[in-house]
Amino acid sequence: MKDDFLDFVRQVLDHEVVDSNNLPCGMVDDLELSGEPGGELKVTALLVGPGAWTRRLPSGFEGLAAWVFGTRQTRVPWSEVESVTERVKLRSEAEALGLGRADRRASKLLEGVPGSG
Amino acid sequence: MHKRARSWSSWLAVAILLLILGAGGASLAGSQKSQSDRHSLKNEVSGLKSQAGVGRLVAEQALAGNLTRTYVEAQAVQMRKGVEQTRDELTPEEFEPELSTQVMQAADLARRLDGALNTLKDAGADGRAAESARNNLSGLFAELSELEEGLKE
Amino acid sequence: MKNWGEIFLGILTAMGGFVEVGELVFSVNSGAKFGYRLLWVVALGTVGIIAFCEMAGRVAAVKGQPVFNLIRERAGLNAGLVTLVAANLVNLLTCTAEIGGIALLWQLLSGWPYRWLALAALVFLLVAVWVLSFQWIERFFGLFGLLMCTYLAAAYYLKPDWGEVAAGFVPSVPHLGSSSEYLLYAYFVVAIFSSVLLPYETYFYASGAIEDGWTPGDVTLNRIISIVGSVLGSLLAVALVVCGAEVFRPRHLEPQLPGAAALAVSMTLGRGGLLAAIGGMFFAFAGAAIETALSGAYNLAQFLGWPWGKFRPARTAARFSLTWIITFVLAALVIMTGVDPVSVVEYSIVFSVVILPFTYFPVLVIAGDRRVMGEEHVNGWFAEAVGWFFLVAVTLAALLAVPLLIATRGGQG
Repeated sequence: MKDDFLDFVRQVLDHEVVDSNNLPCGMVDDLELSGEPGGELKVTALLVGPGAWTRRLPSGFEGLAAWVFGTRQTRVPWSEVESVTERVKLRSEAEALGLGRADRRASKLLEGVPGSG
Repeated sequence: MHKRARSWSSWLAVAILLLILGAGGASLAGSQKSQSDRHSLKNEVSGLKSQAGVGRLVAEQALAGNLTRTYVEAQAVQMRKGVEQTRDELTPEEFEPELSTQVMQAADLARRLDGALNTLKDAGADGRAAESARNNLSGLFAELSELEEGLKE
Repeated sequence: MKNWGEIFLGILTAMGGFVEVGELVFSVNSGAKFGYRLLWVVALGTVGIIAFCEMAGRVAAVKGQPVFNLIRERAGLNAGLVTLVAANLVNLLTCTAEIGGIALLWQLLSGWPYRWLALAALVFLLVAVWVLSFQWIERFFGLFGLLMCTYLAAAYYLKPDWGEVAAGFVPSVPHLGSSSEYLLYAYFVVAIFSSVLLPYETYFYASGAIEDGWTPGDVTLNRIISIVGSVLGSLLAVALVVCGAEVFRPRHLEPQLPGAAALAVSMTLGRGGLLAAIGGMFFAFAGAAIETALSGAYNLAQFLGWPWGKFRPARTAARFSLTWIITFVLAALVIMTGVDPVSVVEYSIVFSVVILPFTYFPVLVIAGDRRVMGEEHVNGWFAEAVGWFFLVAVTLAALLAVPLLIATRGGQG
């Protein structure tokens, strides 16, 4: 984070999220804010997953994108964020936060293929 | 700066889309007639002429011993495929009525070119076949050039 | 900073990977149609790809961020997603053309049926990318792609008028007979420019910088490789134009098949030259097929935040791995339907330039942003000037590409 000011739209939204092992585990697809109108607004969580970013598309494309990519969304509490640079780094591993499930499911398709690691 | 990047991208996308739609619309409007014109026929004949010319070059190179037998056979097969596709499009119904004579001429030349390329296949192994193919393809090249010239506006 | 051996290797692989099937067909045909009058476009495109790759490579080395990360950040979700979809469709088109090109070349060597060879090409590419590490993919296809230097030799032995060749580098419009010929010339200007400035090369290059573990200390390496590698690679494109001008133009021919281009080499270097030229084209096309398939996977993974990279085990980057596999399979399936790869090439070249400004602009913006790059690595005044010049050039090319494609009836005049 730079200075006392964090520009959420510029520095956080649509930036890559990496876990404590620097493994990419999504993008900041949306932000959860809490607060009342006229009162203090706080960022309480990052929203990661197609369920979060498809909602931001123009209405005609939201349905198609959701059909292709799914509607899954993971809520990562802001308290889990360790640092914000080019990437948003988290304090915990992806699996512990419920991130990276799609890759773990997809990896089953490659199970048994020699050299798949 | 990022806001400028985003709005600039949107304007460019709109401009490109409008240009594509405009050009597509103009093209469609211009080709409302269901039949192709002299220019299209000339392009088909130019393509056949190129095939004949490349075939002649292959025959010359085969005679000089610069090609493998497999290359000559396979190149002839690949060129025949292109000629067959063009032949299928050379029917009088596809072109304006006043072009029907030239279309028939082009179709006949395409048929003969197909035959010449078929004999080119053996040019890699047989010097006489190579010489015959070269002469044949030279003649076809000349005839196709003449037809192409006659179709120029 | 890597040692001189690595620099030399990087330059050679960049050179060997410069040409692909579209560039080959358009370069030879530009020589056949217009002689040397389009060489200035090859030079212009080369400077453009140097600028684009150098900036993207520098951002990757300094910030560890590849192209589609930057696009998502800077262009936003909506415009970024349109760019992603368009870029990946173009990647798929180009991959299709390359696989078709490989099948045509293998047919020239074996005589086997084309569709079976397309299937064999698919298997070959899948195995190569699965088994080889990123570094070995770069080296193997890049270095063997240097067999394309047989075209350099052929161009030399064809004894062109070197004065005329040099004059071709001076931007000018030749005196032509009709408005349709001027339109065709304009179409070739855009097509040659696009074929040299293919965007997938930049996605691959920047992602490759991260695969190779580049750090800010490799900024000079990046500069040397992108400049020297591209200049040497462009010599291959120039050689192809010379072959087109000296062999096909006097005979009034416009060769449509990649194998026909090899006749220029057989005329000068005989049967051995022919086989080397076919071999060079094979490695160039195969390298391009791999770059386009991997670029598609890089783009998708980087935009959506998936783990990516050949440096990760395939199961760790499972969606990334499945994406490039699916890209190869789809491309091969399209070719096996019998579609003409040369027609596919034409559309891939035209639509590549249409999407180019959308991928170029975010890279230019970030590379010139002092807050992101730091004082030491931000674009200097020269890089900024060149960068903005090419932004205008690629935007103009993008706006004209499709109208010219339609107006020239697909480049036929």
